[in-house]
Amino acid sequence: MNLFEYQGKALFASHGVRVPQSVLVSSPDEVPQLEKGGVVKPQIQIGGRGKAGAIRMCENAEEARELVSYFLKTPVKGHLARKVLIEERVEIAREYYFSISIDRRSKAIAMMFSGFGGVEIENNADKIKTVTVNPLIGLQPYMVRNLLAPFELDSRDQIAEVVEKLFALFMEKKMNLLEVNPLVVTAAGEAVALDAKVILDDWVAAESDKDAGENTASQTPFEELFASVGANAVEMDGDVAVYAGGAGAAMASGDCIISRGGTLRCLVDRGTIASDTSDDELSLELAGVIRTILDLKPKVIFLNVYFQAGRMDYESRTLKRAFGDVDRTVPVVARLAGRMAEEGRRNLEDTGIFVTDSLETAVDKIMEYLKEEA
Amino acid sequence: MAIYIDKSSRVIIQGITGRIGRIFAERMAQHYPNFVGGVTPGKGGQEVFGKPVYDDVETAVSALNANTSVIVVAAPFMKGAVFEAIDAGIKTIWCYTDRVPVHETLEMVQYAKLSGVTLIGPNSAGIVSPGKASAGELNENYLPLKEGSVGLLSKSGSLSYEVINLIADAGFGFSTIICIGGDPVLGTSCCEAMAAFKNDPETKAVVMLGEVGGTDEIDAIEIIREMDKPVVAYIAGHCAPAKKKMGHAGAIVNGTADTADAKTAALRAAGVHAVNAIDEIPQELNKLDF
Repeated sequence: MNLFEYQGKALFASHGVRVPQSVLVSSPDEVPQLEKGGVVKPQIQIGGRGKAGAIRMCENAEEARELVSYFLKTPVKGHLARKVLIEERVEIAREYYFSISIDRRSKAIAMMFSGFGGVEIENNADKIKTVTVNPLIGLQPYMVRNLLAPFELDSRDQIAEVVEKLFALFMEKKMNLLEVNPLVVTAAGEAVALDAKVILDDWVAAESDKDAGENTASQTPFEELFASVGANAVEMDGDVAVYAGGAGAAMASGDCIISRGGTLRCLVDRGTIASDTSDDELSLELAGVIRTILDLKPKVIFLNVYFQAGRMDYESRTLKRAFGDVDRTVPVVARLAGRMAEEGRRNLEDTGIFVTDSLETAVDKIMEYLKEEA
Repeated sequence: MAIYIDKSSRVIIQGITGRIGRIFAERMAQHYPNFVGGVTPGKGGQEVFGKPVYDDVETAVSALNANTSVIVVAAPFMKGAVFEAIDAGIKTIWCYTDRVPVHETLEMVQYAKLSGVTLIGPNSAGIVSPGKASAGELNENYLPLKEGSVGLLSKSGSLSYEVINLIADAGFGFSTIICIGGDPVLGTSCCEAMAAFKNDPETKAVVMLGEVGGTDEIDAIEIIREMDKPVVAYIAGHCAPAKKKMGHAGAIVNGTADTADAKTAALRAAGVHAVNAIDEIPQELNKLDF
């Protein structure tokens, strides 16, 4: 789950890291007096906001109000802000980059620092210093020294203190990512976090605050609906809707169609929707899933379920009911294998659904349907 | 021989009296005599499908000579269960459970490494060396788990069901099938599993099933270059759009290097027989001489 900048900065401030003074507004009327001018930042989750024109200076409250009303109406890179942050201006002497992330390769925590912060970081990727932290020993003073050693810093102690405080925050909240770009030193020698990018772990966030941010990848309403019942879905703009039991199986089913020149309308991993019960709740959830897939108006629906724990006879009965409830003209190909699959296939025999136990036969049939359509 | 588990494994289940634990226990008791018992705190003295239950892992290890543990406890208890297993002297651990916070996985993985313990998962379908031992959910009753010389390395459980069938239909059997899991941080990575297959005399060829996201499969190229056995690979998600979570937390296309197309090309350049769809795997295996 991605946090918005203002949420990340509130966390930073709560751990004693200096951030610019600010006001968060959701309408132009809420803009306060600004004697010294300010910086107007729509709260949207995109990279490169500065370059996209989404960080704007203002001289007074009137200019701020204009910018706020503009940003609340005008999407930037497809994202419309619901809130706008108005911050004090900070006199920047130096800009740095700092981040803490999970390193898959070393299976540890990686801290990165660079003397080239702000927009310069992309062109100076080779000048980043990385220090990995083994979670069993945690952050040690020598690690902070090593991280900052390659850089000429005027305010080394202040920056080291920020590194320590943010590391403690990263661990406390069990974050997936914490990034500050830029971390600046002001003319007065103070270290200030000018931006905040925070990604929380979904499995930690689930336990605490669900409404704090948005999902890591922005979801369509279709995708959100599936997430709410424990399934995973991805919407695309092609022809075939794929419904499969498991993430890997869903991608592999999609690839079989793509490799033969087909295109996909959506990929649905039916996920953790219960499959070892035959109760009505399950059929309601599955019926909802099927209706939602039908609403996308795919040219063919491909059901590819290979269960070894779940029971295919239950799955097929609920699928049959789900399809029975709707007026269907779209062709459906069902490949059912695994536990109780024979009974499962029998259950679908009189539904007009093309049923098979073979992946190859299923893909052949889908390509045939697509050809008929074209 | 095989990798990580074989005839000498003595397997217990932590969380054996729960719903999932009982499902696994029933199947494993049916197929593997070296599945020897289980642990649930407070349930010591009970039996599950004829296997003894103990209150803690230490007692189970001394009573049963166990060296391998299948851990199916709920996510909030996973870290503690793994630490307990390691401290009790267990040498190979499979973590079945999904939704374990990544910070906790990091601690589990690092403690296992420090203690010389093999950890598989979390969020994985586990491992089976057909005919020898199982510490996984791959089900002998619905999958053709035949003994043989192909090593199968997969991130995804559901994808491996498909490929196990395709490979078995083509007439091959398996030395070991390992599903390493779909989380961003894994106890056993592609690299490590590939290195184990490299050193296993019984494995004559390896099929690697990866997916979009991360660099795990690319990192394995270093090992593959030093191998004298052929490797067939498939990267799932040629159809996956960027920045979308594909069900597995690790399977998000973030850049250009971690797309299925890019990984497939890199593997081909390293001499791997990389295919675009799983139905091409059997013909690739048939072309090979092993």
